[in-house]
Parts: sequence; structure tokens; C-alpha cells
Amino acid sequence: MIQLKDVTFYYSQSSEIYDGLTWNIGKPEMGNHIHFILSPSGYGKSTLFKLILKVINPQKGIVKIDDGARISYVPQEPVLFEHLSIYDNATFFKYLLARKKEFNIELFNEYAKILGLDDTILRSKKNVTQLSGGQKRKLSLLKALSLNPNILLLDEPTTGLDAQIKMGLLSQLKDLVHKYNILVLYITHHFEEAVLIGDKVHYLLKNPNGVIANISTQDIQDFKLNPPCLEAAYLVDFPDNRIQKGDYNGKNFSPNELSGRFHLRTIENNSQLFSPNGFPISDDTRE
Amino acid sequence: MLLNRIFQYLSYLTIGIIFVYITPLLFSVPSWEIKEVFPLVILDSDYSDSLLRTLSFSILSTLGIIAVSFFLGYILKNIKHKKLLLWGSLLLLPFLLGSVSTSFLFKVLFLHSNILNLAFNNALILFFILGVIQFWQFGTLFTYIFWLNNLSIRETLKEYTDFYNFTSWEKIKHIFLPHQRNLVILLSIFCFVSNLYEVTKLQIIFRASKGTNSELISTTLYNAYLSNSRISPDFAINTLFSQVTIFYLPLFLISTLLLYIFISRAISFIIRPNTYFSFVNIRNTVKNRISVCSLIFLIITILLPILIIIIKQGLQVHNLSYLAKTVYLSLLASLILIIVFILPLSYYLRVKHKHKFYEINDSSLWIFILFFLLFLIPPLALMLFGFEWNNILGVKGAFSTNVIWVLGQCINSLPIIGSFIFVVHFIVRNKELYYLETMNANFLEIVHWSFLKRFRLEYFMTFLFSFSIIWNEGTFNKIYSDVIPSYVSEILRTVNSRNADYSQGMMFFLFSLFLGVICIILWNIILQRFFRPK
Repeated sequence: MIQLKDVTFYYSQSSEIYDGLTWNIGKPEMGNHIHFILSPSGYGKSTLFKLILKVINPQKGIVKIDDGARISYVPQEPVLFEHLSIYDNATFFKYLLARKKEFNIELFNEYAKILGLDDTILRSKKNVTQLSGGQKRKLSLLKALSLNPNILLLDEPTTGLDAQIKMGLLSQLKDLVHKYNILVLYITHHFEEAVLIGDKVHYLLKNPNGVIANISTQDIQDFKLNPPCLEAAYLVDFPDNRIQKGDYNGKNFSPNELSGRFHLRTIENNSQLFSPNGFPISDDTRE
Repeated sequence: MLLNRIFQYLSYLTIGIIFVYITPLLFSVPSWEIKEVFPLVILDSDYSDSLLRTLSFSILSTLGIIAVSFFLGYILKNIKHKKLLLWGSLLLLPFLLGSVSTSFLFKVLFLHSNILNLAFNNALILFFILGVIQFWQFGTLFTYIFWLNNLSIRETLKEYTDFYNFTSWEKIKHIFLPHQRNLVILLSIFCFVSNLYEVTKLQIIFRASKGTNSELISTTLYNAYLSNSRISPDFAINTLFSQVTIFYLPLFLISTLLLYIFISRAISFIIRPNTYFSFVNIRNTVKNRISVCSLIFLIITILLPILIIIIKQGLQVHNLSYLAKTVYLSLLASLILIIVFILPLSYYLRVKHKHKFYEINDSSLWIFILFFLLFLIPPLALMLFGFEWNNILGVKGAFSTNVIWVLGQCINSLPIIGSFIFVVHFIVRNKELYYLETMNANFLEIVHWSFLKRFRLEYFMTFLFSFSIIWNEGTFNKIYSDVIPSYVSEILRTVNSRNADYSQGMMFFLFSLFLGVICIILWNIILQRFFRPK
């Protein structure tokens, strides 16, 4: 459904973000709807979204979206207009020239019900700035859903919400994407959100030059037990006693070679060696 | 503690002086020539025509200038490159030049051309040209302000509108206009008031007169005052004072209020969700080119007239001692304005009431409203308050005139300079002030470390700017020109003489230009701080 082929992207040539990245996401199937894109801050997760949304174009390579795909997007900070009423904000796309045909009022009402945004909230005379953080997030989500998308991009949609509201929003999201067969790409750096509702985790891996050249795709449980790199291990709260300095696959290293290097004893005991900044070191690159 | 007290009392004193200065009407109620005022201003066609002309010109010109500036600010928003932004500061030059220099520039530019003849024969053309000149002076400043303000819109919001394919009209309606709403209103009122009290350009460039239907109300009032003073100076002052305070000042306040209501309503109407307007959609690469071309065009529009008159008149040093005579009192006034009127008040409020005066909010708004109300008082009325004080205290002579002149100029320039310094002081974070307080720093130490050391450049630039405003001011300088030599009086004398020699005027103009360029260089140095990586 979404295909990135040999994508190279940089804002300035001195700071390349992606180098020859290839990545595919297929159509949502049973239990394969919500894809989490995970990595620490500053790894270019939002840039990946911008490439998919085509607000930026790669210097090399192709970003391809299936014909007939209807993409909607919820930015990290809800885009709500203070000069419009709450209802006008929610139904904003029915006024937008380029999108008014996609707006579906029946679906809008159904989604509003699922998200718990009833008429007392939507028709309220309050200014949109007076809504709570959770309500603003829901409103922003509802607005995106009102376009009847089959691909939904969510950029850290729970930032600033307390645990209870976050849980509520996530479970409502899970219900509706499964019910309406929507493919969700969800950016976060909180693995616990993926554990709650995620189906797949895509982890952005940097090469030793600090450029993203690969994305590892795993099931949630697999990611938790076998994180692809040291930073991912920290992200999933990998037990400290399984992060060890020392030998690798039974091979001994001199103290100098060992200095600053780590390996993870994963559940299958399939140890891998990492450099101090978390980059996996393959057998070829090892001395 | 003692220092705190001193600053506190200085602050009260500043506000006190302002109020006392503008309230001599309480003392002079019996001398109001009420009977003279209403029949004259309402029934006399000279007054009523002039008033109608003033209001129509002010409204139309304001709406035109604001609309064009907003649109240009919207076009320029695509320019984010540091070097182009620095070049863009040249848009400030016409405003920094001031009214008298702008008048002189266009006077020399139009000399021996058909433009002036056309304007003399047709009042509509005259006011159209005046509107264009007003745009040159104020519109370029507004464009720059709108442009900078547009740059503060979140990048993610722009990406959002790009992804959902907002049209240009939808972007203006939902993003740019709501973001600029308060600024549009504020600048509209600023422009309206400047148009309302416009007198210098009309007199210098067009030599406005009753016969050519080219007088605005300030000129009419001033001319009436001159002819009345031939009968009796006291009668002239009292009549003018009554006309201004009883009739025109309230009328101007009401018309400003109506303009505010009109513009707020118009913006609310435009940003309704279901208003549509068709705009041509242009590709981003083309948009960027249009932005850069517009900036180049604006800079050429600013620099070309200046270059032409420099070529026409030449760069010449002429009678420096006369220039010095016009300068010293303006320097004194701008020093007093900043050191006595603004800084103590601003330091006191920012440090002692930091929980209120850290941004423009409901608690700090009153000071800006005070400045704003002061800005609405016409310079002619401020001058009259000074005359009234002289009468009340029974003092006459050069010294008292100098004092009244300095006070009047300070109060006249206070709204712009004061607002700027207050906003600059908002850059200091409250955390820093609380920290210094916790460390037992006294008031003077806080002022020294958090303000004086940090804002030296800003203060120097503001000083030059306030000097330029005072030195370029038209009303005070013209009326007091018998006692205090001034730029405007020299220009008016030249314009009205038979064999006009503009060399002295050119010297003044070049001095003003020099000040403007220095201000722009300082502003660019200040601006570069924001480009530094954090």
C-alpha cells in the first residue's frame, strides 16, 4: 500500500537523514492494522511522514502510494482554528474546496459516537481553546476520519495526555480502525503504546554515519524480546542483566576491543554486538 | 529599598507628568470659546468640507495601505533566507526617514514634473498621490511587520495546509488572517491616525490650500489659528483649543473606534468557514520566485527615489552649524524621553510586577492602552496643552518655550518608543528575574545584568529612532520655529521662497538618511541574534 524505494533525503547536504531507504507496508489484514514507527527523537520519524504525505520530495528514489488510497493525517499538535466553532472545526473539511467531496457526514457521526464526542461537546458554544487536551486530540482525529480515509497517519497523537485519557483514546482508536479496516501509521517513542494497541513495530535504524538506511519490522512481542539494537533495547526497557559487555558468540575479545562495546543476550540467545552509540556491528565490520 | 522607592516614584512621576500635561482643560474651562466652536465647525463649509475630506482620505488610504501591505507580507512569507531577511530590513528605511524627510524627498522628486501640476488641478489625483506616498512611508513598514509575523507561523501548520491542499484563499482565511488579526487592527488604527493628522506632506509637497480643495483638517485649523492670532493671540489659542478638545478630539476618537469595529467585523466576516474567493494556484517554485521579485521590487521602490534626488542634488555638506542648531534640543528631548519617561517606568513594572508585565496580556494591556490613547491626541492639541500651561503659570520666554517643546515632543513620541521598549523588555524571562531576586540581587543589579547589559544595542537604536522622530516631526517644530530652529521650518522656508535653494534641505535629508541607515544596521545586528543556533 505504501512503498519507499531507495529513498535518499536531506534538508541540507551536510545532514543526510535517509540514504537508500527501502520500506514497504502492505494492505491491512486481520490483526495487522496498526503499525508503530518507533525510534528515539531526532531520527526522522516525522520526515518519513512528510515523505509519505508528499509535502516534501526525496532527492533520490520513489515514494509510491497505491491508487485509490485515501490518506488522512493528524499532526502532533492538533490543528484547530480558534475563529471557528467546535462543530465547524470538526466538520472543517466540508468547507475546504479540495476535500469537500470526500467529507462523509454519516461516517462523521458514527466516528463521533465511537470517540465519545456527542452533541453536547460538538455543538457547545465554547471556544475550541477551552476544550481539554483529550477533547482537542479527539476532535483532531475525528476531523481526519471525516474524510473516510483508508490510511491514517498519526504523529504522536497522545502527547500531553494523562494515562487514563490516553488509554481511552487508544482503545477507541483500536476499535474503529479494525471496524473500518483502516491502515494506521503511528509515530511514537513510547513503546508501551505499541504494546497496548499495536500490531507491528517499525524501528528506524541508523548506520554508523548517523543516517537511516534501514527499517526493521517486527511483531510487538518479537520486538520486545529481540530488539534490533541497543537503543531499541533501552526503549523497551530491556532488562539490564541481559545487556552485557563481553564476548560475542563465544569469541573472546581483548580488553581494548571490549571497551565500550555491548551485546544483548536476547531470548533466543542470539547475541549481537553493538557499538557505544547503539549501532549494531556486523560480523564483517568487526575486527 | 531606597532604589526601589526611587524607581517607583519616578514611574508614578512619568504617568503623572503625562496626565498633568494633557489636562490643562480642567483649569481653563471658563476660557472655552464654546459659542465660537459649534456653529463654526459645523456650519462653516471650510471646516466641514475639510473634515469630510480628512475622514474620507484617512479611511480609504488606511484600508488601501493595510490591504496592500498584508498581501505583500503574505507574498514575502516564502522568503526565509537569512541574507534576504537582512536585505528586507531596508523596508524600514522610509519610516525611519520620518515625515519631513519623506516630504522633502518627494518634493524634490516631483520638482519640474507634471505630477504636481496634475495634483494642483485635480484634488482626487492629489490625494491619490498622497496615499501612494503614505504607502511608501508606512506601507513598507507594515509589509515588513506582516512578513516577520508570518514567519512565526508553525512550519507543521504550513505542511498541514499543503497536504490537505488548502487554496491560497483558504490559507489566508484560516491561517494568515486569524494569525495577523490583532496586528491588522493595530496597524490600521496607527495608519488611520497618521493619515488623520497628516499635515507636513501636504504643506511641503503640495502646498495645500483652500482654493485647490487640498486642505486636511489639521491644516485648516492651523491656518484659522494663524488668521485669528492676527486679531488676538489669546482668542486664537482659546478658539483652537476649544475646537480641538470639544469637537475634533472626541470626533476622532469616535471615528477611530468605528474603524476598529468595522475592521474587526470585516475580518470576522472574511474568516467565516463558507466564504469563497477564487485565487490562481501557483506552484511552490514559482511562488518563491514571485516572493524574491516582490522584495527586489519593493527595495528598488524605496531606494530609487532616494538615489534620484541624490543624483539631482548631489551629496553636499552645507552649513553644518545650522544643522547642529536644529539637532541639540531634539537630542535632549530623545534622551529625556528614554532615560526619564520610559526606562524607569518600564524597569519598575517589568521587575516589580513581573507576573503581569512579562507579555501583552490582560494585566499589562493598560499601559499599551494608555500609550494608545496618547497616540490618538493630535500633535496640535499637545502643543495647545503646552500653551495653556504657559498661560496658567504665567510664564513666557525662550526657556519656558523650550521646556514645553521638550515635554510635548516627549509625550508625542512616547507611544511608539515606549511600546517598543516595553516589548523589548518582555524578552527577559521571568525565571531569570526570580533567580536574581532569590540570589538577593538588588533592583539596580537586576536592571544592570538583565537589561542594561543585554539591550545596549536596542537602547542605542531606539535613541536614534526617537531622535529621528522628534527631529522629523512637523507640527511642534513648525509652530515653535521662531524660537527653536528646525528641519521642517527650513524646508518650508525653502519651498515657499521664490528662488528655492534645496542644498540646506538636502543636507538635512542626508543626515536623516544617515540616521536611518545606522538604525537599519543596528536592527540587522539585533536580528542576527535570532539566527544564532541555540
